[in-house]
Amino acid sequence: MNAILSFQRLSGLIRKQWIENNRFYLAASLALFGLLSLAVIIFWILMNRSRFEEKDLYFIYLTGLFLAGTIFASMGFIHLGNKEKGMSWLTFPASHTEKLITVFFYHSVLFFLVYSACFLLVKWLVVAFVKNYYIAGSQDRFVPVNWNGELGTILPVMLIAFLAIQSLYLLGSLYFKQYSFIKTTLVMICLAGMYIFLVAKAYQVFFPDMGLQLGNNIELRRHHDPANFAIYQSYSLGPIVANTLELLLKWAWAPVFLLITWFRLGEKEI
Amino acid sequence: MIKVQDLHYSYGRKPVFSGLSLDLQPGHIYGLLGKNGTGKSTLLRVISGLLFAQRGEVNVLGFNPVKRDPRFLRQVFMVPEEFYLPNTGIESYLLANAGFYPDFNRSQFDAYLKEFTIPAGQSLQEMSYGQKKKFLVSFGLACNTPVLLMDEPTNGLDIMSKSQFRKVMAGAVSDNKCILISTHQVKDLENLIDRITIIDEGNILFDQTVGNISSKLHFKISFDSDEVRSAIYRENSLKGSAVILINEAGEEGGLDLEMLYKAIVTNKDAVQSAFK
Repeated sequence: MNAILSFQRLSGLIRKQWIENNRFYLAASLALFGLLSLAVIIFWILMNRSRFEEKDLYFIYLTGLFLAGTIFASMGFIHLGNKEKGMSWLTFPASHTEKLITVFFYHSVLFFLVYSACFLLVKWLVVAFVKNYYIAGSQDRFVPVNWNGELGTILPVMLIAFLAIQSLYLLGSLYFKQYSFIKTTLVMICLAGMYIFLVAKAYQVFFPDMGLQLGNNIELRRHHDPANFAIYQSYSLGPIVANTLELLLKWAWAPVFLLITWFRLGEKEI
Repeated sequence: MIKVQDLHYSYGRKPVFSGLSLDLQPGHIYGLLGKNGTGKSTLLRVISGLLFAQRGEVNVLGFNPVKRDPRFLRQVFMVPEEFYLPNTGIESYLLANAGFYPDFNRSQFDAYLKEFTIPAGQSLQEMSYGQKKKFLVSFGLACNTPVLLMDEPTNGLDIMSKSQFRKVMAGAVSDNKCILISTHQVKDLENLIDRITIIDEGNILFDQTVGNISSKLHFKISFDSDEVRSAIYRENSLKGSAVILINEAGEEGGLDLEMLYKAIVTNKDAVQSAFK
């Protein structure tokens, strides 16, 4: 028997989680549907009186996804803050890997699927309502989303970021016994602030007279002089390094946070 | 089966264990006694892998509990003093949990529930605290794990339930099982445990089998003033003096765990001298 990962144990653990929490998950799904409906009615129908842009619905979707997702992820390991529940969970015969995958599955993957399904259902209902009743016969119009535009670029990046942020809030729920959502948010803001400050300081110290260009690549430029703005020197990363760095910056956060969570689970004592 | 060597553990600056060693074998029900705060529950949690020894070595069934290996966890069941049961019915609970314990026996589980008079169709959240505890004890026993740890299992049980508990436990012991019961309600475990371990101030104060205790000590009610004076422990009562004597004549007699416990706590040297 594999001590790290057994699919039989993992499926049993996923089933156990469903059996013991299905009422909560169903109630949470209904609440999501209700809140999404409310948000769409308020921010899209009532505030968009003449031009109903479909892309605005997706911005509501993304805002809700991050807000509800992080709150839900903050409850991932909430049971470990409770002595009785924590003891029962830690002594249950499954590995830390299986327990982590189960929590990630319910609090990130399943949440994403349920939230997206709720959104698509709400969107279908409101778009049908707006097209057929609300703007029928009036000057108002419905503008479908252009997937080749800004939203088509932003959406994949935002979904990758969602994965990373979910993993961070799961980690936070393991570190903080209480108010993990607030505490993780504060820690995240502090760390992001420190990071930006350090990068800005490092840039000022090491490249005082160079301009930073962020496009498809990170580029440092030195100009002839303030009057002559033509580029005198230019430093940029090679394409392999730049692509690798970009891939890492996009995809590495979630695995890193999950790996820290896994180690932390192994260290957890009750 | 369970080997603890030179265990050190402290909560912050407050030491709980400072070099505790213990060797528990299968086929016994061990009674772990001690005052409040002496580390009984801590020891159970160290054995089950919930707490990590700060120094020393703990080996349970060949595993290091710290790693919480599933192969180890499926062989150890713990009934904590305060426990959690989900908001499900009994059948759903079994569906979710029983499959993880390879030796779980459904007919045994049903028999224990019947013995404890727990209605089969009841939801776990509708049960009283005592019923929940009996349910968990039934499940733990039916899992047939080689190691069964129980922390204050009779807390919250009524008089009838305590009697049912003793009956069920007596039938559950087998040659390949090691049952460790931590309690300060010593009367509840009388005639059940066959080895008594008393811990105090982080160390083993007393560790003897019931058979050995019965052969070395004699518990009786005495009216003889000379006998009372020579007792290693005595308590006056309306019925006469309850005493513990050195069993020099090898008389057969019962064991009063509560008296023994008080004797060890108040007159440790005299009790231990009987076993030298």
